[in-house]
Amino acid sequence: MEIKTEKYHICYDRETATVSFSGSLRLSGPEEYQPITQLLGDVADTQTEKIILNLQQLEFLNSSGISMLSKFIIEMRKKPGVQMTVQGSKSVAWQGKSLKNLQRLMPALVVELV
Amino acid sequence: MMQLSVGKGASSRVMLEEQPSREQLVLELERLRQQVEDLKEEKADLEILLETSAAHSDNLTSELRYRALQAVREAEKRLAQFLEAIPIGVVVLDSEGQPCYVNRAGENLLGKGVLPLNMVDNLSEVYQIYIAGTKTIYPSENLPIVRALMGETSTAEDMEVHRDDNIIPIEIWGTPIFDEDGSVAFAIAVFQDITERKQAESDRHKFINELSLLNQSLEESLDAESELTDAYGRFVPHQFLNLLGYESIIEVNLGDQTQQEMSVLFADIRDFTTLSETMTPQENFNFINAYLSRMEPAIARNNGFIDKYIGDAIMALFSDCADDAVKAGIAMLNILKEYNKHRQNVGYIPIQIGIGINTGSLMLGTVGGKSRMDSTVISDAVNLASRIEGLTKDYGVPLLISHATFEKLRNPADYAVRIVDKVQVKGKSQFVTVYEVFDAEPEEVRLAKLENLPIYNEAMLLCDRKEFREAGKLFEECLRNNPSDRVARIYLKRCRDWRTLLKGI
Repeated sequence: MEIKTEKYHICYDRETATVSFSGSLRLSGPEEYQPITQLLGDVADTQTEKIILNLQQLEFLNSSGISMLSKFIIEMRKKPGVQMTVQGSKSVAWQGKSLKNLQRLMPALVVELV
Repeated sequence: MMQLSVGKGASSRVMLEEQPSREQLVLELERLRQQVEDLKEEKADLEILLETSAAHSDNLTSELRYRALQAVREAEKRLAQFLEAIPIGVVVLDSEGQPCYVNRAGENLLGKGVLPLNMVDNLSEVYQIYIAGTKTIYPSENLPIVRALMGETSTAEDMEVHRDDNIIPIEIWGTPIFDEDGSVAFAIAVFQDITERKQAESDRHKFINELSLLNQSLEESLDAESELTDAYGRFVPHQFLNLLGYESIIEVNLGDQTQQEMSVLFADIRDFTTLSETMTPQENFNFINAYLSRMEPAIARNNGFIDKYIGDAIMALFSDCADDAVKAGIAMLNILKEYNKHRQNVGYIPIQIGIGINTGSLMLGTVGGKSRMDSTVISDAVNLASRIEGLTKDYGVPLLISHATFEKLRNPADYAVRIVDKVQVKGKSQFVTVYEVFDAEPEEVRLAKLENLPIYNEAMLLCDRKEFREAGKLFEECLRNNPSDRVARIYLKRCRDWRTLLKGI
């Protein structure tokens, strides 16, 4: 499973249960984020132990994007058996604060900032 | 489903009517409590979601703003780097006329950077800008940067920056920068040190001046040389040098010589010694010079040149043809007539001259020693010319020429000529016939001599044959027509003398 455009690239590695994001996500509203929401939903259906979201290469994410991620986290909260991990980068300015906020939605969420 | 719900409602109404059981109430309560919990959780999620979104949005906004500022600063920094790197001065005034930027080259040139001004009129004074070559502050209103504030583009290079220890001539361009409304937002000026160019200009002026001075002194030298040439030409005739094959006296070497056929003219004032005794030395020289300066042109005009003056005597040479010498002699006698009229008018006695001309091969050359040198002519022809000149006294005629000259005349018939004598050349056995040229005689004398010419010639021929009786008769006839003919008179006497002599034998 993969979504690739000029601006961003999202790919899923089943072996490591990792969804990697890179580039800039500037889509407008939930409608445009729908394919990504779908991708994440599909991943959630196949993984029963853990899911890692690697955002280290994602340089930019707009507000609709963070909403999309937040809703996914809320969905995953309904599957307490699945360990959620979000990997971020300290060198990407927005990631520090916004990724920490995701923990408020899911206290069990592991946020790794490299 | 709808049906079911209605059914359910109906049944609860039934239960309400029938009083719900306690278990039912507890379950209902539990269900409601769960719903409230779910709603609470949802509310909390929404709040977090909202806060997360807002915080994220704030983050992004400030991040973007930071980046934008960063980009602007970067661009400004780069622009400033460009301006700083330019090797010529750049000054920017804002629309109020306040300096807001001076680049490094500008600061180095002016010795000052951005300084606050009370008013733009102080600009020249604050930055010590003067009118070139003066101690007058440059009028600020004329500065190209101030004119740029008025919207003009201009240049100037008549100014200097005065620093503590030196003066820097500068050239400046001013131009306005307009905003969107078309009003002046900034005035920008670029300027540079033109010391080198000014130096080059002044060097060029200096060189031109030096060159023109050199040129002038060269001209003066040339003038002096040409004056010198004129001066020595009065002592050594140019024609003499030319005949030796030289342009200038500097080239002449002792012993240079040339040989060529020429006519020699000798002219002498008759009885000059007697005349001279009545005058002071000053008067003597005044007289000789007055006379010689009159005669000189007659010779020059006829292509001759004066080889030398010997007291009152003139020795002239004619290298072109014998006619020149004869014409010069006639011209001298005509000039003399006018000169004598003038002398008589002012109370002086008229003078008489004798002219002798001979033609022959002449040697021209230089003689002398190491320190004294002169040009000279060596030839028997000169001696004969001198002797012929002496004969003019004996025969009482002013102009005599040798047979050699007569022979060289292009057309002897152009002249009034008659035989006068035969003279023996010194040291040689041959005789040379001498002729009288009487073109310059007074009209009546000339006509009389011409009229007598056939009888005269016949008489001379008879004389030659020693038929003195017949000859004497003819001379007598000549004298009847022209009693003033001294030659005829002399020959008549000779004829009588010879007859007396012969009778005696």
